[in-house]
Amino acid sequence: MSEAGHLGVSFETFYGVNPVRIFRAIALVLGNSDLALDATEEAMTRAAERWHDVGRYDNPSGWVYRVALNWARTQLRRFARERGALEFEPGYEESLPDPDLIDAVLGLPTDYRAVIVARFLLDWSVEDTARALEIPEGTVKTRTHRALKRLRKVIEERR
Amino acid sequence: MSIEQQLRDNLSAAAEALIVPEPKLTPKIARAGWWRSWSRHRHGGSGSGAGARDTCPPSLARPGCPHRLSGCHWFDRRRSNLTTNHHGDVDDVCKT
Repeated sequence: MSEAGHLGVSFETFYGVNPVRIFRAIALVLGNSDLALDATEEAMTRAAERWHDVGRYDNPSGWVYRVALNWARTQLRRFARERGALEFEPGYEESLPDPDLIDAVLGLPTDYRAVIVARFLLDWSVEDTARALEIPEGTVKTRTHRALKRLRKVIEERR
Repeated sequence: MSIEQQLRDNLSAAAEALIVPEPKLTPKIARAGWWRSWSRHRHGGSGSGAGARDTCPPSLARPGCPHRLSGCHWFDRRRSNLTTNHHGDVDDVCKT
């Protein structure tokens, strides 16, 4: 389990840095803190079990991101798990530069949000995002373009 | 400011504002087994002796728990669907 991947990162090191980051990203994609926590936990567990392989990937976080999202989708679809909500610190809206923009992001289709969060929160490239989500780079670009178009429209309508 | 930069700023702020129930992330990882090597390292045993089996790793143990096992974050969170104890052994679940 603790075997280092080709970059020399052990699972313990990976786990020490990434769960919260991944949890936050997954939560914003799903719009559900509780489901995001379980999904992150599940994906991290699978990563631990497969670290011999996952640790060799260029972006193990991308693997965890995809596995967590797929697991959460299965939970929602197959087990009719309740759609929960995000749990923020009290008064969080005051810390957001533009709360309406976050509302607009949360209003995007999940597939779009997965791309937007990967690109602009996790700061992954088009290539990394495509590899993480196992979709073509063209699809990443299309979803990004369409999502930004929708978000621009929200901002413009508010003016 | 570009929409891309606004997104970065707002997503980062929203992510930071999320309540993160951090301890809940530990148990399944523990059950997956990786911490057993960590535990052996910490406790200096093989993991199969009484001393090793009865002791939570420091990250899971809660001060004041008489059985130690029952004070784990893991037990608090996963009490309803536990199939193993926090050493990964199916037959040794703490009932307290």
